[in-house]
Amino acid sequence: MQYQKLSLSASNSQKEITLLLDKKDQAKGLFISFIGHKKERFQLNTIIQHLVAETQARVIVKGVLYDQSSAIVEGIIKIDSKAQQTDSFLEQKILLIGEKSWATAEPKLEIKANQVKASHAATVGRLDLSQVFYLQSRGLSYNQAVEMLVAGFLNPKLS
Amino acid sequence: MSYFVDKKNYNRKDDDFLQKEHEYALGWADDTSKYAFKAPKGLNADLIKQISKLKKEPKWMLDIRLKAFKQFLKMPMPNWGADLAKINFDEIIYYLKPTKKASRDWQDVPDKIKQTFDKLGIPKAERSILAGVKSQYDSEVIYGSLQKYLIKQGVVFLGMDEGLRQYPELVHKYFGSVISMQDNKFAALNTAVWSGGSFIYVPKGVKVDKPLQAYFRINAASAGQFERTLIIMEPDSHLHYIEGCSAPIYTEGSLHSAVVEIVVAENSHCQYSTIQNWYTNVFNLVTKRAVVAKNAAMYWIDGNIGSKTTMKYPSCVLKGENAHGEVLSVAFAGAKQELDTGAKMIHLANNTSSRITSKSVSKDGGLATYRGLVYVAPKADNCKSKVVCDALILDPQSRSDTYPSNKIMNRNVSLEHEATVSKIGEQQLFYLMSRGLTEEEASTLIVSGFLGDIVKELPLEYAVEFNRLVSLEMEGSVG
Repeated sequence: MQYQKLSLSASNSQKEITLLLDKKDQAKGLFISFIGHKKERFQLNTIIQHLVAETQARVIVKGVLYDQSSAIVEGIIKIDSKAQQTDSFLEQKILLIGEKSWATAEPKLEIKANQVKASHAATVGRLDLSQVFYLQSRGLSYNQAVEMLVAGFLNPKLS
Repeated sequence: MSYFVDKKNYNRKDDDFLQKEHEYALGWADDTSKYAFKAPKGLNADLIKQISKLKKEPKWMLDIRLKAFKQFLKMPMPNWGADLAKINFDEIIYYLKPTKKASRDWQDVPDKIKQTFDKLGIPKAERSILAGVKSQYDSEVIYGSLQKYLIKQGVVFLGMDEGLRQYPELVHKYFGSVISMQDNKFAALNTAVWSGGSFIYVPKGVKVDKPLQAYFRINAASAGQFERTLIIMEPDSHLHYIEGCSAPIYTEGSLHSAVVEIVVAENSHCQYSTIQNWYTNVFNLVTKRAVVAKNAAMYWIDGNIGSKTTMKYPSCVLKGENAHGEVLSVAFAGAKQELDTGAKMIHLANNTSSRITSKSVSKDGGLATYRGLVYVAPKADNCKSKVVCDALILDPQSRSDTYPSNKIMNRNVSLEHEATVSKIGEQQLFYLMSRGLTEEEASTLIVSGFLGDIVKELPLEYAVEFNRLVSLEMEGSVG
């Protein structure tokens, strides 16, 4: 599947994106990332709407929040009763690094067809400190280690 | 609901019997003209004063009721969730008193009511594994008993009205402390007109080793049921409380709006299990919440099968360090049913953990919704929460929604949420059918397995009942 990539910035921090699947055999992928600093606030809503049968969608949202930045991440998968045999997935992953950073994640589903596969996953958490420690034991500074882990978090292998 | 009706003669192959079952096993409604006191329809301050007077309540309780009634009138209906427009508050009977006093001895219970209880199998259940039985027949506790060794240990298990009479200080201290009347419109309504429910007090260090059980049942047509349950657990105590619900057939819609408050003190462990099977014209709008102290744990096991509309989100306020909260919620939404269920976990202290598991099945045009909240306060470090929601949709007319909300205000947290909606796997079906099962039997087996988590948490009698309920719901689901 081809992923369209989008990164949000401080000047473009509020976004509502609709992914419309209205043609048979359509497959759409979307990868959205953002990095927040200071008091930046991100507000994102992704709407995946399956109107016809045999369509496929993947939406991945990844955010890293430093300092006092925050994010309100919403998303929904809507599958119409006509849209049988659809396959849809929504993922929201937020990394909280700043001491006063915070986030809300609301992945929703509205499913009106029965022959479907629809799922979502959300995680909110901090960096794995054992991974930071491992990198530090290999000679990296704390900041370098964090930077490397954040880079890995934001650049997953998409297939 | 067959388990209580005809346990011995139950036979899946008996078509006539199943036909009757389908019509609804508990489908009888009592003639209410024989009740000792039946309030007129509708609600006003005078009626509340009358209820309070009949119950011989202290003045402070009447004041709370009247204040809550004002609050109820003031508050708007919830503008989210299920459609509640069909509730007509003026058509509901708010208080019914079937016999004049609560009787402890089975012999004293009037025949008419005894027959109903016999159909439900309550004395049988009591004789076997249950430590005490409290039944709410409409609004008053009619029959209740508690095994002696529990009384010796200082455990109190009474109807809420009796609890208020015998332990006014405790009730005064804790009533409304977990769920205030300002919480929501239906909590306010309950506070104004509450009647019955259970009052449980477990003293320090006491471990109640057998589950305590209450059985609630709405009987008269158009009756509201507003039971109020208060469970107070002192430090180092242990309790498993079970509440079962079933209601007979009606012509008009009924309203059930309960409030359950639980105070779980340090190092205590509380489990609250419910199997709800209201008839499909009942609005079931319930507020349930527990406050969990340091090192304590609260488990809500919540099975929802019946009712027209259910809105119920058991919650844990994790107030002390290392507190743990868990909700296991199971919903089976059939024709014309809307089950809006879920859970709330409020993390207020360090190292608190929670887990929500939700399983729902929708069938014949039913709508099953998961609605939940995980909140981690800015000052709560090292919290962990995991939410898993699985849904099965059995036919093209049915619908499943998921509305989770995760509000994380602290970075030292691990929150995981996942949800899937799917159908019954073709391969699983094919495999079972190749082993000689019909499609219907195979589907029933898969659905029972899908909902299986709840069965493990229930005592044997309830587990058997739950499995029977699921198979009955699945009858005729294929072809």
